[in-house]
Amino acid sequence: MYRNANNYRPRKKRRRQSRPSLWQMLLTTALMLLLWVLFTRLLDSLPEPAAPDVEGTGVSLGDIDMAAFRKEEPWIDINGGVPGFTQEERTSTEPFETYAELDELGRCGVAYANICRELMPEDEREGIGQVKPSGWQSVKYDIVDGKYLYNRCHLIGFQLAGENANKQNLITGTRYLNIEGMLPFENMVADYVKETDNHVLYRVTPVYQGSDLVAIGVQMEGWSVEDEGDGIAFNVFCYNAQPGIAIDYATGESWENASVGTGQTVQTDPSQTYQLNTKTKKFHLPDCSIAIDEANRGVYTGQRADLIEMGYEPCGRCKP
Amino acid sequence: MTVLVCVEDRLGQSFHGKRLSRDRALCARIAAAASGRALLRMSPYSQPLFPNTPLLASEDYLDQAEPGEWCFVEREDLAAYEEKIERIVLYRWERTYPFDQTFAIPVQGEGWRLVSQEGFAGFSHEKITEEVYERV
Repeated sequence: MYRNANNYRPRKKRRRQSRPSLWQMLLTTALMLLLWVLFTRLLDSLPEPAAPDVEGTGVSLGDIDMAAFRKEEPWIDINGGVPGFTQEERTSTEPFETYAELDELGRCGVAYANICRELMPEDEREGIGQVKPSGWQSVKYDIVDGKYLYNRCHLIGFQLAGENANKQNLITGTRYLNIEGMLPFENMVADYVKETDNHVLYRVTPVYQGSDLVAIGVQMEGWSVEDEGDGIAFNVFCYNAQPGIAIDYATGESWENASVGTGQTVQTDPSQTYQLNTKTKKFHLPDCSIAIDEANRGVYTGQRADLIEMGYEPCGRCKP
Repeated sequence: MTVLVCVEDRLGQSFHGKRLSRDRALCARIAAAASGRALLRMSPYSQPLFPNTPLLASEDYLDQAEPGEWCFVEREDLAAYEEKIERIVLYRWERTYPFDQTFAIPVQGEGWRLVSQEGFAGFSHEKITEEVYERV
C-alpha cells in the first residue's frame, strides 16, 4: 500500500449512495420506452431482409402467380437469377448429395448436391414406377406429349446423380415441367461438368402452397464452383403446369382448361357427376342419403358452376 | 465474313449472357478448319476456348471482320450484321438448354440455303451437327 511521507494513507473516495426517488425511476422508465420506440421505428424503416428478393424480373417465390403462366415461358428468374448459396458453400469442392425426409403429408423437400463426375451415373437408368409421389395420379390427355399428364419428376435428374427409385427425389410433375422446365437446366449442368470436370452446386426445392400434395413448381439453383459462377449461375422457378390442363394442386386432380398457359388462366371447376332433383331444383352427390323420386331424378356430368347457372342449388345435407 | 455459332434444339444461343455449352472437340475442329484458310476472330470471352490457336480477339470483332474472315460468335446478336455475313456455320448441340437469346438469322428463310450437313462426336456431347448455309 502506498503511503506518503506523512504516513498518510489516502482514503478511497466513498461515493455517496442514495435510493432513487420515484420521479427518477419514472423518468428512467420513460426514457427507456422512448428509446425502444425509436429503435423499433428504425428497424421498420430498414429494407426487408432477403426473402427471395426482387431483381430483374420482379418475381420472388412468395408471389408466384400461377394464373400468369405462359406456355412460352416454362421458367422465370428468381432474385435476378442469382442463386442463394452462401459464400462458404460456393467454394466447396466436396462431393455430396442430400435429400430431405418426406414430410407428414409424404411430400419431398429440398434436394441438394455438389454435382461432379464422381456422382454421375455409369449404369443404365432403372425403373421408378413403384414410387407413388404425393398427389400422384395416372391420367392421360390427347393434348399432352406422350399422353400422360404426370411424370415422376426427379428433383436431381438421373443424369446428374444417378438416383433411381429414391422417393425423396421424386415428385408428381407435369410432362411440361419435366421436359420444358427442368431438363434444359439438367442438360446444361451435366454437359458443363463432363466438359470441365468442375463442380456445380445444384439445389432443387419443390414449392407447395399450404397442405397441397402437388407442388406448384420447383426452384432450381446452380453455381459452378471452380470458375465462381462464370460457367453456371442460375436461380429459377419452373412451373409445374401443363398448357391446356388445369390442376387442383391440393389433390392432383386435373381437367381440360384451354386458358391455362395463355398468361390469363380462367379458373374452372373440374367436371363431376351429380344427381339432380328436377322438381326441387337441388343437386346432390351420387351417394347422397336423400332419396329422389324416380320421376324427378336426373344425372348431370359437368361443372358445378354451370349447374348453378342453370338454376340448381346444392343439397344442404351432402353439400356437393 | 463467315460466322460460326453454336445453338441448342430451339436455336437458343445464350442464357444470362453466358454460353449454353462448350466442347473441346468442336473447338479443335474449328481451329483446324480455319488454320491456313482464314483469320479467326472472336470476343475475349471466347478466347480461352481456343488455347494455342492463332486468332484475333477483341470486343468489336464483328465490326472489324473483313470479307473472307471467320467469326466465332457466342453472345452477340447477329441481326445487325446480317448484310455482312457471307456464310453461316451452325453447330447444333442436339440438346435442349435454357436460353434467353436466340440465333437471329432466319436460315430457313428464302435468303439462305443449306449446302452441307454433317454429324460428329464431341468430347462431352454425343453428337454435334454442323450445318453450313450460304446465300442464295
